[in-house]
Amino acid sequence: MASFFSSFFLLSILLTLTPILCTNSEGNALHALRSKFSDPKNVLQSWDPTLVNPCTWFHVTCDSNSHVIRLDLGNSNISGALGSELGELKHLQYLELYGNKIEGKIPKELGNLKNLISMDLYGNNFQGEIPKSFSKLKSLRFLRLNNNKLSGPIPRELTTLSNLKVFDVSNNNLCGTIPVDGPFTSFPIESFENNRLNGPELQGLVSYDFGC
Amino acid sequence: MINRSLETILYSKFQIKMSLNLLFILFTLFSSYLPTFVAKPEAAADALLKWKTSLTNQNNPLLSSWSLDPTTNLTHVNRTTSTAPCTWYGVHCNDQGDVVKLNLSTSRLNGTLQHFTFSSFASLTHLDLRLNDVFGSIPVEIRYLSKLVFLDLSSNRFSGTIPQEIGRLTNIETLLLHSNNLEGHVPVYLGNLSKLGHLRVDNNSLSCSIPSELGNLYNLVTVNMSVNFLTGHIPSSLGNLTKLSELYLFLNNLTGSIPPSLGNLSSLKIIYLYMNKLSGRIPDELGNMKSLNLLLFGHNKLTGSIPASLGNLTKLKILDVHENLLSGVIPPELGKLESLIQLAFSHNELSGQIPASIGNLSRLEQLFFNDNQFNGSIPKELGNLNSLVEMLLLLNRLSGPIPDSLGNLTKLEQFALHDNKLSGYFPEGILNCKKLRYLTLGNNSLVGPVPKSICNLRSLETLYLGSNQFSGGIPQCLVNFSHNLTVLDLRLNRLHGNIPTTFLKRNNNLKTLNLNGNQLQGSILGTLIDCRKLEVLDLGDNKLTGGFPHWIDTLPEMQVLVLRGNKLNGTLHTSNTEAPFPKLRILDLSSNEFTGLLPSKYFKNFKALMSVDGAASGEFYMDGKSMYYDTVELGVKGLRLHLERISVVYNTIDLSVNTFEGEIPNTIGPLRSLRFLNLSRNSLTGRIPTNLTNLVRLEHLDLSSNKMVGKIPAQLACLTFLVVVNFSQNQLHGAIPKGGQFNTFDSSSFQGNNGLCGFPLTKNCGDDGVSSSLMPEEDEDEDEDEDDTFFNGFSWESVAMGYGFGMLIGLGIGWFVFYLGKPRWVIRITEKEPSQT
Repeated sequence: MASFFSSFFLLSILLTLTPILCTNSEGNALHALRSKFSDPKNVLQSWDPTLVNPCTWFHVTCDSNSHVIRLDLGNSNISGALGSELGELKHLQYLELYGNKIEGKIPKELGNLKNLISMDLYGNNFQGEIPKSFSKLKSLRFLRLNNNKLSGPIPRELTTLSNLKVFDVSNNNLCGTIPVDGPFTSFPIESFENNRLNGPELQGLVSYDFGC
Repeated sequence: MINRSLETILYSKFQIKMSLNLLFILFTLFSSYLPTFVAKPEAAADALLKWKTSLTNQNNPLLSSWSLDPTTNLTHVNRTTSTAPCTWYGVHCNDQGDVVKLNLSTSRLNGTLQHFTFSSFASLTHLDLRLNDVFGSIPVEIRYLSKLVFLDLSSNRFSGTIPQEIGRLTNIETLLLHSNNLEGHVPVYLGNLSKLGHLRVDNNSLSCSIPSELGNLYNLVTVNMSVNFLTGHIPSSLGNLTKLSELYLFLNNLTGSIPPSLGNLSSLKIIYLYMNKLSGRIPDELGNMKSLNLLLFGHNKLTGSIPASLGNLTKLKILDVHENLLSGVIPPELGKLESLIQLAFSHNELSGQIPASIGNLSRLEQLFFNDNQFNGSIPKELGNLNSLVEMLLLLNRLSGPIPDSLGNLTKLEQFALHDNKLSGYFPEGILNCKKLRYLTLGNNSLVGPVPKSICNLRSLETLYLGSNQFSGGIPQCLVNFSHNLTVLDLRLNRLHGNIPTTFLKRNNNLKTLNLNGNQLQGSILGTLIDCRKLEVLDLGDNKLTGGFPHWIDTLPEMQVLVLRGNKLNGTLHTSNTEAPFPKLRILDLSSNEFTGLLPSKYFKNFKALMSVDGAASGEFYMDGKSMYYDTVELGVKGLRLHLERISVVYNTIDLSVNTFEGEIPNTIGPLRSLRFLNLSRNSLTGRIPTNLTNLVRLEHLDLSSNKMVGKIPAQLACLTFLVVVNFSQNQLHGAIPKGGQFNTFDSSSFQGNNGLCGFPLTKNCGDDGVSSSLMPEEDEDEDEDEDDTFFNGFSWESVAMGYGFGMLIGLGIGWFVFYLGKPRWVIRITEKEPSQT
């Protein structure tokens, strides 16, 4: 008994010296994300929440003000779900999570990532609808959601994304019609293949979610 | 109910069988003139034998006496009786021959209690099975042991729940069930055991809350429920336990606040509540626990200030509240804690000045105030703490000079003051602390010279004076005064002159030599080769001259070599060693004046950079040296990143901003665990080696501002982790690789190459460019060239017009379906997925 307690006692002294969790909110958000992931290839091993900020973590890139601007975890064999905390990475420009086994809904909070230039979620198992909140991503240029299990209509709000240059939702389970306004005038038909989409929208004739 | 009746039936059958056995035994016993008090012992003997046969190791030699064969029992003659089982190993009988004690601790028992006939031991007062390998559940029949006073089942593998029948053992005084695999809740019925003095259920997997009924057990002296998964609040009824001396509830998930009623526990000597989720304030009432020796509340979420009333706990030896959210100032009353040996306030939000009265704690050996917001100067009275061995004040806002009085602390071994705002000269007073092993004054605002007299501290292991404003030269003796010295960190000061040269030749234990960011001159001398254990050598950002110190490539432990930002010149000669730099993982020679070819031989031998799973097993960081962690600053991903601790896989080669020439050697290909490769701003020529695509961990590849030709290997698009690339300002041509991470690079990565084409540049590649694509499904999307045939000039409007008619027909069908029901042909069409357009 004595040795048992003394060992715990020692532990408590040792722990006196361990650093506490960082106060950096972006680091905390990423750490929360990590806790939801299963990471068989250990690509998130370097995500040490005790560091001052996440800028030295692998697959995380910061700007000179130590704000996270990139998250690059493509083809990393990660499974699990995304949580709302990703929406706290306000400075994020590139969200590259393609080619994993991430499931569940795409959190609507991703719409808070106002600086996002590229969102690549293709090649996962995302379900549910494309969040309407994506219409707030005014800087977005590349949005690839293809090869998932997304359902529901393509939100009409996305037609307001004037910077959008690449949009790919092929190989999902989307329904309704394809928007024809704004950037959607220029996307090739391949971007919409293999869904339950009913062709281009006919404004005034049928509602955009016809057939959903 | 069913179980209960079944149990009775089994039990009665069992008794019938037992009585038959008894008849037989009685007969044999009477025939050998033995006393008349036979019935109970023989039932017990039979029960023990039956249990013995149920054990997996029934041939256990310790139980060899457990036999009715009289020859085996000759040596075990009991004082009071000579009958079985009273003479057996571990069995004790009273004068009447009843088995009253079973002491089978540490007897290598392996089996369950399912075949232990508790009903045969009605007189048992002590049952001790401690430290065996008994598994399975604790049988409910334990209730038959109604005379039990002492029950110890600890350190076995009991599983299942604690049976509530234990609540019927109303005579029990000691109940020890710790170190098993018990789960479920702590039974409320324990509250019936009014004689209970010692209760241990620690080291199990118990959950749910602590029953408040325990507060009825006025005789409790020890309660230990630590290392379980208990939740809920600490019952305030525990404050009734006036005889309680030890309360251990650490390492659970307890929430809520510490009940003020605990202050009534005037006999309490030990209270361990650490590593829970307790919140709220530390109650003032705890100051009434006059007998308290040890108070450990660390790793909770306690808030508020430290109550001044704790100053009344004059017998307190340890006051440990580290890692909480405590705020406010340290009450000066704590200076009355004359018995205190350890005072741990680290990792809280305490502020204000350290009270001078702390200097009264003459028995204090450990003072842990690190990671708070203490300000003001260090009180000179701390120099009175002449028992002090460890003083940790790091990571606060302490200012002013370091008092010379601290030189009185002759027992001091660890003195950590780094990361404060201390000013003034190096505190020469502390050089009297001859036992110092660990002295860290880094990251303060200390000025003046680094005194030579530091070399009198012969026990010193870690000397961290970095990030101050020390000036003058580095005393020669600093590199040879102590065989124990492992860390010498003087980085980021204003030191000038030469690097000391007279390193210890024998027993040199130096692992870290960090002189980065000073104004040191001269060349790097060969004597460094005496530091055979050197792991980190950072001489970056000085004014060093001369050639590359190639002899250091023989240092077998070298992991981090930073010579960045000096004026080193010449070619990268390698020494004659067969295997240079076998453990090197970070090589930063950037911003020097090196010339000649890239060190192909080094690349070939960087063994540590070749295995992809560098840190899959073992430590992720380089070994910590006591409280000191190696740090390094590197230019990666376009930033100057400060690594607070160096990961063993932060694999970096930075040879940028030199005048290296020739081609990038193919030997770079096997460095498969390289993360950051920067060869920019040299005069490199030739093509980009295609085997760069083997560098599967690469995050940052910068080849900009060279004279490279040829194409960018298309397979680089397979490097999933590539985040920052820079090929700009070369003479590259052809198509930029497509897909994967190359989707995310912008044009600045490729500018200044007249021959490059394709996304993200505006220049189209034409047909031959498209062919190098790896992920064709991605291609057309990014290509700005609009030579796709179908959709150009085929506007949505015209498609829409066509659809107008189709849709009208569709709507008609819809109406049809709605009013007339589903015709079979509609079902057939609609259930066959309509293709999109």
